Amino acid sequence: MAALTTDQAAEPETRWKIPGIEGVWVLMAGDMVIFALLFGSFMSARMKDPGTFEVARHTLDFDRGGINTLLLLTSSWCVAMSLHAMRAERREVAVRWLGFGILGGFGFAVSKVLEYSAEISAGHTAGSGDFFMYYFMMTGIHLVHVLVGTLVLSVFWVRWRSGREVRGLTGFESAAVFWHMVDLLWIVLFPLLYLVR
Amino acid sequence: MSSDTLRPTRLWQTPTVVWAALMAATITTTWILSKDTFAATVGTVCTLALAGWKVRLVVLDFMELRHAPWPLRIAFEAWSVGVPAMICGFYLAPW
Repeated sequence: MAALTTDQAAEPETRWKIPGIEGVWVLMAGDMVIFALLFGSFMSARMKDPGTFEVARHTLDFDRGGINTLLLLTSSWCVAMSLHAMRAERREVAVRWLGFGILGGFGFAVSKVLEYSAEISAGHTAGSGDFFMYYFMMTGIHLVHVLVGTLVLSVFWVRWRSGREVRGLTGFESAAVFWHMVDLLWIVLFPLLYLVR
Repeated sequence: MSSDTLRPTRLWQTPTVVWAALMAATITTTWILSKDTFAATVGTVCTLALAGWKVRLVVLDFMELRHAPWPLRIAFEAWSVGVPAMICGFYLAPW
């Protein structure tokens, strides 16, 4: 595990540290700006017709939304614990935490697909008015982020589990901060769609 | 750069304590504040305020920006305050 610190040892010791690759932060900042604009656009549309939005909101499954939030938060925690374990050179523990984190991502995705299926069966599609257009668009883009994040984390899990040498943690730190951003976006998306009344 | 720089220095900054706080806040907003026992405005504004607090916890303690250079930390912290405030602004707007 000595190799873990080789890329870090070359850097001068400073007070500040950014986890992961700088480019990932730029990508995430862009993503977060786009989502902020979508949130504003949704609220602007809601202001024009709050009654219709409220009726549409009541067709959503609040309990499922809440459970999905708990699932994603728990997954984020598992990934944070995995990173801490890797820094402490406890690879087996890290693999276990990461496995649980990935399961959380899968669980969220499966739950979301079941939710979409229930909505579509009830006759609600992206063409069923502004609320559902925003609902399917924003949760759909978010779901793509969940799938990408789960896939990337799975690659690390497979590599770590295979016993291959780990050369620094910058790559995994980048994947982890991306995963936390996916969580962060859902933290706002969930109340916006399900709880604003 | 030592990874010690990123190690939580206080108990409430550790991932497990942060996770417990996030879970408690989610349960509060989803299954308590959303009930009709709270006025819609009170429930919604408190829910959005808690969402902002949750985002800040994720930014500082999961994404580990507590020890990041201040421009980056300010930008992400501004999002955690600005976005819920913007949503509240639209929600409370009188027009």
